Amino acid sequence: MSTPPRSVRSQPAGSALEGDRALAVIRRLVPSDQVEVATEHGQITAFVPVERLLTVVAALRTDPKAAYEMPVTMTCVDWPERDPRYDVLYFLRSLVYNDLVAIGVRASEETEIPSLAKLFPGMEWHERECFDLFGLRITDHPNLIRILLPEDWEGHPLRKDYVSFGEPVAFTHNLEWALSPQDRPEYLPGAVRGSVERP
Amino acid sequence: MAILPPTKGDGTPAIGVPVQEGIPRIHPGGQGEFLDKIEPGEELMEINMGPQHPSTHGVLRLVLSLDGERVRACRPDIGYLHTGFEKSFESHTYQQCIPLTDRMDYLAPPINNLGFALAAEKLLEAEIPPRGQYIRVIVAELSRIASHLIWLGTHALDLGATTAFMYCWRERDKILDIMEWISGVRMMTSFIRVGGLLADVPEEFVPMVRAFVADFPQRVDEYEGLLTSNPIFRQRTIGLGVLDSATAIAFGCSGATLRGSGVPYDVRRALPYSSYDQFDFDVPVGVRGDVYDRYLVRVREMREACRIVEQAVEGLPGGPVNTSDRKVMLPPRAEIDNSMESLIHHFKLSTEGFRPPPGRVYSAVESSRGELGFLMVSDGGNRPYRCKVRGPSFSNLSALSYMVQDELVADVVAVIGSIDIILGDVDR
Repeated sequence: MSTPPRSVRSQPAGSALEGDRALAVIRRLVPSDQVEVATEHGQITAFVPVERLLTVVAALRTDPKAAYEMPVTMTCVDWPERDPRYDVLYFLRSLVYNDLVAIGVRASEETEIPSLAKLFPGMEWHERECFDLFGLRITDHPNLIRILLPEDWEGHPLRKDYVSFGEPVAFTHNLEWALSPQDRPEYLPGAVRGSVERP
Repeated sequence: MAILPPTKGDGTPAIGVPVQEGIPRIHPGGQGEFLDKIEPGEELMEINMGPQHPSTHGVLRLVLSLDGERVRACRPDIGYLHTGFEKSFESHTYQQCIPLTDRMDYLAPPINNLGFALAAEKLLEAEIPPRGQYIRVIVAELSRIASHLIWLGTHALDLGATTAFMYCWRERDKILDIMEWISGVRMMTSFIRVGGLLADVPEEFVPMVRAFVADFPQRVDEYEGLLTSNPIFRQRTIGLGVLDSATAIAFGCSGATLRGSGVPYDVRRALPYSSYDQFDFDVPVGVRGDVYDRYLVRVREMREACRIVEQAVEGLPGGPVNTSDRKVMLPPRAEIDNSMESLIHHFKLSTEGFRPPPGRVYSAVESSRGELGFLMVSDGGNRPYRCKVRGPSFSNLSALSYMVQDELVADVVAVIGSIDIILGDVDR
C-alpha cells in the first residue's frame, strides 16, 4: 500500500461537458465541416470521417493536453433505415483529466474500419465483439475471429433485422411492433388500407 | 501449427509440433507485439484448461502453449456463457430488463441493477430522493462485500488454503440474509428499480446492517490472519502476474486489477453517482501490480465498503425512496383509491411502461470488478433501442494473456483468481 502516485480529480477539470477537451484536438486535425458534434446529457460525441479515425485517436492518446489513454469500450448502434446504417462508437477515458469522450464513425456494411488494436490492446476484444455481433468490417486486426458466438454461427445477432426469438405476440400496446402492415388495424400507422376492420 | 488457434470446440492438443517459419504468427489472444515472443522452432505443447476446470471460475477455456512447465502463450476462449442479454434488452421494457441485469454479474446483482437504473434515469432525467440513494448505496456496498468474500474464499482455495473459504461463506450468508429480508430473494434480488427501489426497507433492516457492520472488521482481521502474512500464500503470490500501470490502462482494466497496479481510478470517486460524494472512504492502491497487491487492495476495499455502509446507515434520511415522477414509478397503493390519475398511471406503467425521450447516454458505476458501463440509446419507445453493457471482467480478462506470459502453469490459477472474473459478466 502506498499513497496514490497520480491523482484522479473528482470533477471534470476545466469544462462542464464531458469530452470538451477532445474537441480541441479533433478540430486541429479534421476540417470542421467534416466533424459532427452531438451533445446529449452533457456528453460529447464527435463523429469523424472513417479515414481520419486512426489519426484522431492516436492524437487523443498522445497529446498531453488530452491523454485519453484508457479504452473504455467500443460498440455499434444499428439504424437499418438510415444510410450508412451503423454508428460505431469508441469511448475513451482520460484518467489525468477525468474525462470521457465518444468518437463516432458512420459506417455501412461495406465500410472498412481500421483496427485500433495497435494503439490500444484493450480494444482488440471489443472489435472482435463488434465483428461477431454486428458483422462490421474491421481491417488490419491481429486476430479477427468470432469471440462470443461459435465460429460456425450464421448471421450477426445484434443487427436489427436479425429476429431474436419466436413469434411476436400482439398486445394492445405493441401492435405496431408485433403485426406486419397487412395484419395491422387500419387506424395504426403503416397499415394497408382495408386490411382489418376497426374493432 | 501449435500457435495457430484450434477451431472452437476442437480441443485436440498438438503435442510437440514445432512452430514453422512462414506461418503467420497469430498471437494467441493477439494482444499486441509485446506478447509475441515465441521463437520459430520452439517445441511447445498445447493444452486446454477449462471450460470445466474448477479454478477457471465458471466456463472459461484457456488454450495454453507450454514449454515444459512455463506458459509461453495463453489464448482465452470465451463465449460459453453468452446469453444475448443485449439482444434481449431490446425486446423488454425498461423495468423488465432489471431481472436480466441480475444475471450478468451474478455475485453482485444490486450493482448491476444500479448501473442499468442510473443509465435509464439519466435518459428520463428522474431524480431519486436521498433516502432511496442511501439505501441503494448500502445495498450495493453490502453486495460488493459479498462478492469480494466469494472471491477471497475461492482465490485462497485455488492456492490450497481451504480454511478461509469456510469463514468467508459464513459472513456472506449474513449479507444474503439481509438481502432476503428486504427483497424476499437471496441472490437475484432485482431490488433496485428504474426510478427507485422495489420497496422501502423494513424496520429490522437498520439493526441488521448495524450488527453486521459492528462485527465485520474483526472478521476481516480473521481472514487477514489466515492469509496476509502466511509465508506459503506470500510465496505463491508476490511477484506473480505483474501488470504495470501503463499496460493496465492500455488494456482498459478497471477495478482492483487497475488499482493493484497503482492507478487510483475508482468510478465512485472520479464520477460520483448516487450520493457517493457524501461518504468518506479511501481508494486503496497497490505498488507492484502483482497478485498479492490485488489481494491487499480487495481486502482493504472490504473494510472501506464496510465504512461506507456504516456512514450510510447512521445518516439514513427519512422520506420517500422512489422518484415522485408518476410517469416513471408506480404511485403508492393508497393514492390509487383516491385519484383517477394515479389509477391511469398505474395502468399505463403496468401494461406498457414508460417512454424516455430519444437520446443516448453512457453511464458507469463501480461494480465489485471495475467500471460497469451502460450505453443506452432510446428512440422514444418503451424498450431500449440499444443497450450496450461494458462488463469490467471483459476488459480485465483480455489482459490475462499478458499477465501469465512466462509464468508456471500452476500459477495461472492464481492469476485468474486475482483478476476476479465472472463469466456472466464477460460473456453477457
